[in-house]
Amino acid sequence: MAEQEFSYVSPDSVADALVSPAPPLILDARGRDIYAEGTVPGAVNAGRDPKGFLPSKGSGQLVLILKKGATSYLKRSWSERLSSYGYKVTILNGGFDAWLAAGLPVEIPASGHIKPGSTPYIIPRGLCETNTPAQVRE
Amino acid sequence: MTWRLALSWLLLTSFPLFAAEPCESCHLETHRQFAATAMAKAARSDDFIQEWGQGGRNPACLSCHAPSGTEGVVCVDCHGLGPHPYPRLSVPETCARCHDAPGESTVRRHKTSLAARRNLNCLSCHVKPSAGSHGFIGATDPAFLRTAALLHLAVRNDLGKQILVAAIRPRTGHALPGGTTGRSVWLVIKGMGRGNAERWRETWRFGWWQGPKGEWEDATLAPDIGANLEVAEPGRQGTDWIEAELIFRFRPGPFEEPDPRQVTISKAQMTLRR
Repeated sequence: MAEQEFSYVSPDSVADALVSPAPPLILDARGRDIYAEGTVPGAVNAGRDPKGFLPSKGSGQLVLILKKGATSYLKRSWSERLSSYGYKVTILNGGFDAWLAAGLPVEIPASGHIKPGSTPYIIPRGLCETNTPAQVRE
Repeated sequence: MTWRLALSWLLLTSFPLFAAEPCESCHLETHRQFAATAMAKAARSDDFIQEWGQGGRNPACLSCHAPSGTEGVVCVDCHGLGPHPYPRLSVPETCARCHDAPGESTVRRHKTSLAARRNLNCLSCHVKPSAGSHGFIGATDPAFLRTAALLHLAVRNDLGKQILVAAIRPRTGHALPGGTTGRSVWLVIKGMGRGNAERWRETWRFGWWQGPKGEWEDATLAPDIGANLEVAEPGRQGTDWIEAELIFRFRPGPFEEPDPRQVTISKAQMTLRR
């Protein structure tokens, strides 16, 4: 697969697609540490090893974020693996730097989510706050 | 003659002051569309009546559920008291009066979304074109609710360990669940094995939580971002495949309490590699 045969997508097109009726799955394949510093909203940390990544069968669009200077070999490995599970694979053109340059929002992935039974939070019974200001985790 | 003209003008421009529900006399079709919505019955729903009763029938709740003292929202609650014809409403600001009320963050979260950046607003999704300009739809429409999010599963190799990732991608353009503290979204992930036996189960709840001092915390799913939940070693205990389900409930409480109206928003399944 020659370089020109990879399919690329611009950051603005990805941002448009994310609010479409069939938004793409975004995979960040730059590695855990870089992912944790900031990524495209909703992107999944796919790790760095295409052979170690196992997706569920899919049929939709998938956008891949690769690290700067990714080789054709790496692009091919990811593309072939994901295509074999049914995804239509495109690569974010210019990588995450281009996403930032376009002024698009960035997610700093959360370290965890509250689970039932965890403290100190409890499951409420659904009463309105009745004019107590909401406490919002920003 | 002049005073008669003046009186006619006053009556024409001040309908709401003189009659409880006069708008339908001219806007019959619009009234019919709105009457079929959940907003029009906001103070009459079983969920509201139950929660309101449990909360000591606090009159503050009625400022959104029945601002004019009827069984729900009426024309003037959004359009104001005149003069007629009313100016075009500003959206989402008008909606925010209730949908950013205490216990809600729907519009606030919308303003941070990619949808808002793309100039989509509440009406872009919550008006059913076939039902007319006032045929609002929302979570009480199961078919609409099933478009609220997508669920993906994947397994990645992380330092030699398998990590299952369940990615929830909201498509709502606002917090999920939207609406009040009375709603919740649950993710249930099950490890399944031979004989269709459940080997393990993990659950997460999204919505509003209460802290030890009664304070509230917004733990709804953020628009666009959603959540990526991880489970280590999903193949443990002889698990062969994974089943995941994202469920919207009109009950905020524990998952074990039945909610006959709950809707599965999205399902996903994948086979693990041995």
